Parts: sequence; structure tokens; C-alpha cells
Amino acid sequence: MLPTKRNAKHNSVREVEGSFPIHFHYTAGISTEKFFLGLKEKKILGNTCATCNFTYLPPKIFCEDCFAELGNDTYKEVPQTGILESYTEIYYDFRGDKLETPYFLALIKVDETDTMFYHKLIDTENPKIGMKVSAIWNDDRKGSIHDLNGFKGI
Amino acid sequence: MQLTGESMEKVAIIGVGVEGFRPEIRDLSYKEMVYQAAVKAYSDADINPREEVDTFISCEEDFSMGTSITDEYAPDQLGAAQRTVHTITGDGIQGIVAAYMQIKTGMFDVAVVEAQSRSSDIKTHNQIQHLAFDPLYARQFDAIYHSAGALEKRMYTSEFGVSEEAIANVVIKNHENALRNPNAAYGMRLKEFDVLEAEMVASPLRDTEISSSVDGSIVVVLANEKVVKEKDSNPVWIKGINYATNSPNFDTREWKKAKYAELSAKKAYQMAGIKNPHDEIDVFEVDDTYAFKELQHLEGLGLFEYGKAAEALMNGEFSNKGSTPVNVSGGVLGMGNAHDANGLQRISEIVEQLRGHAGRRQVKGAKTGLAFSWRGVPTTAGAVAILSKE
Repeated sequence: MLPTKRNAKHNSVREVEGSFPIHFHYTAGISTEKFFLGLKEKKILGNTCATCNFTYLPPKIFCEDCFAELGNDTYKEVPQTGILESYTEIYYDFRGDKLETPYFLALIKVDETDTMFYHKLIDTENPKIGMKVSAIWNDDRKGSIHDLNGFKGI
Repeated sequence: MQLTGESMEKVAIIGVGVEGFRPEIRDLSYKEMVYQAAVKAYSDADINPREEVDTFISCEEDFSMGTSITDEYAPDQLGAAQRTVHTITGDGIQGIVAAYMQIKTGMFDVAVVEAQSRSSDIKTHNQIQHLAFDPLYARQFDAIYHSAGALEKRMYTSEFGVSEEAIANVVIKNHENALRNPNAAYGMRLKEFDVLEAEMVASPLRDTEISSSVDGSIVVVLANEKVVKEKDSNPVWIKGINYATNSPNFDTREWKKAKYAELSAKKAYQMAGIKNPHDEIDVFEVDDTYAFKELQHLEGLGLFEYGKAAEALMNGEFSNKGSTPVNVSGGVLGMGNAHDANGLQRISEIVEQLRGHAGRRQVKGAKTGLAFSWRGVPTTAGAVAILSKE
């Protein structure tokens, strides 16, 4: 269950307030930087381990299965369509605050890939596992996961 | 390389102490709470921690405790000041594995494992869980962390045809079992209606299917055969133990099956010489952080084919009088979600059951039990321990 927010003012002798102000810039790395730059150009880039005949989306610089390095020549643009494998309607944000407008997150098997792609499901009235979906782009693209608005049922 | 442990001495749990579990423990600091559990465990084991314990293992995470390098604060409340201490950022059963291995080296006779939850100290619990998501991708969507559990539930239930009624009955059973457990925080009687009409947090996951956090601590004392004999202990032997992680990434992980349960159980059964866990193990405590997880974990542990645990549950097989008692303690749903201490919750119940100390929830004639923990979303990490009186 969701943690209940404590309304009562607690006895100040019983507890001392504190917080951690922690900030990062997380390094994208070779494969994710390529992937984000691809999104900016309306391209979805995956890469393939030829040995395992397995295509990763997002791309990786190594194959999780055989551990071989996946070099520059392994990247390719994958189709902008796929199959809806799972979805969830989100009613609360990451803080646990109720959303005024719930939205859908989904796992999509993009065509010609072998992995699950996690993104939003948008403008889809009756989502069903196995339905075909297509990528919808943001007009204002900056090289981020949000360059894609999400996937829409077709 | 296989851990068989055949050539070396046996390892037993000889003492357990529990403080809690309660929705909020506001009168004791975390150190005072752990001290209470430690005193009970040492009394049970007839051990003086200042003289007779050789190694201490604490399982906790900095973010959950609100202090970086929080392990520096673990020793004194365990009687471990100026002693051999190490900390595991993980579940308590992973700590039990470490204790088992340390005793097996022959360097140590007695080991202590501690895990705790101070959930009520955390004012931003959801954010801490959110920070466990991959920062480049999954964290970018700002959804409540149960979103990962919801995606998995839909994959599991739709692939294997598991009904919402069956999942509701896991919730009903475990909260009802908790009424018979003095260490459980959330004992209650519910009807299917109460579970199924609750609000969605992230569909298809309802509020009632998600375990609620608790405060509490558990301390476990382990020893080799020599100490068991010297102390004339009431030992529960570790017959098999293992842990495994599936890929943690959303893109490459398994979403339908509990692969980490399959991987860890296979090795633990091999170590314990168990061929048919359903028939050879008398009592099960398995992670039910989300209600569907109880069913999926039992299937991953090889008790049922995927999709078949629901039928056994609906036939009453999982009650404390059934053929396969599951979470008679109340599980994580009933005892409360103690996060890194969930594995030790499962262990403590199996120890009580095998010693015949489980009171009104006692499973008659229980000789062998299995404890299984999962680290919760977004992890795919699980740990299993098989315990026996023999």
C-alpha cells in the first residue's frame, strides 16, 4: 500500500529533521549517446550481436549473453513500429502524489529487435497486449528519451 | 564450481531475535530497536556477543537508513564494537549466505546476521525507490515505482492465465494468517470485494495487492556443529542456500517468469539433495511483496508449473493445514514490508515452525522448510535457504 502521509505534528524531541541534497550528472556512455543522437534525427538505433543473432534496443557496447564487444559496425536503424507486450496506467507520480491525468507506460517489442523497450503509450483507447504500435515523435527534439512522445496503437 | 559443503562441517541457526514488526516504531531509535532484537537472539542462542561471536554481518542500505556509509553505525547495537563486522547492501538471506560461507571457511565458529527496516523514518520513501530505477531511461518517466510491478503483473497474469480472484485470495490468506502471528503488523480479515474494489496504483496493480512498509529488526545467530554440541542448542540446520540475479535492465530482463527464483532454487536443491521440493519440503515462506509474486515465486521455485499455483491456492493447499503451507506467518503482506529484512522475516518463521514454536499457526510435523526473498522492484534478485531440523 502507499505510505500514508503523516499529518500529525510529531513531538520535536522525538525526531530530528534531515535530508540529503544529492545531485548527479549521469554519463550516458558510447552506446546511449549514439542512441540519443539518433532520436534527435528521428532514428531509433539498436545494435546486433552477430554471434548470438540478438538485437538490443537501446544499444549496448557489449552483448549480455556472450560478452563480446559490440563495435561501431553493429549499430542499425530499427523500424518505428512494434508490438505492445505490456502496459500500465499510472495513477501516482514518483513522489506518491495522485496524478490529475493518469498516463500509460508500456513495454514494446520494436520490430526487428529482441528486447523490451520501455516508453509511454499514448492516444490509445483500448490497449491490448499483442497490438501493433507506432512511434510518435516530439517536434522539439534535444537528444533525449523524450524526443519520442511515445507509441500509439495502430 | 558447485557448493556441496560435503567435506566440511554443518552450519545451524541457533538463535533468532525479532523486534517488531509494527507500522511505525517511534519510541526507539534504530540502534535501540536492533539492540532489542539482538538481546533476544543472544538469549535464544545462549551466546555472549562480546566474547563468543566471531563475525557480524549487517544488511542495510545507505538511502534507506538516511546516512551514507551507514554500515559504520552497525556494530555497537549488536555487541560488535571493535570486532569483525561487514555489511551487505542487500537482503538478509544474502547475509545468511555470507555467514554460512564464513563459518564454512573454518575461520569462525559463530556468526551473527542483522537486518532492519526503519521505513517510518523515511519521509520520501517513494523517491528512494524511484532512485533505484536506471537514471538514463526508466527514471525519466517519473512514475510511481510500482509501475515496474504492474508491468510484470500484467505480463505474468496474461501469459499464464492467472485470475484476479486468485491474486485477491493471496491477499486474504496472508492478512488472515497474520492474525495468528504476534510479530505481524497487518493481521486482518478481508473479503474478495475489499481487495478487488480497492483503487489502482498502477493498473493492474491495486493498493491492496501491494505490501505496506513496517519498522522492525531481526538478528540471527549461526554456528558450526562444535558450538551446537557445546551449547546444547536447539539448532535448525542450513541444508541448501543460494542467490541469483536475472538481468536488472528493463530491456533484457525476464518479465513473465521469476528467473531468479529458478536459478537460485536449482542450486539450493542440488546442495540439499532435494529432487521434488513440493513433496520433500513441509513449509514455505516466499516473497509476496506484491500478491501475484507469491504465486509466481512458488512456480519459479519449481513447486508448480507456471500458471498452476493459483489452482492449488484456491483449493486451500497453502493454508497451515494444507498440503503445501505458504506464508503461514502472514508473509510480507501480513507481517509488513521490511525491505532488506524481509528475507530474515521468512527465515525467522521457518525456524519457529521447525522448532515447533509457532503457536496457533504451527504446521504439524514440519521438518524441512524453505525461505525465499526478493529484493523488490526494479531488481530481479532473489535468495533461497532450505532449513531442516535433521
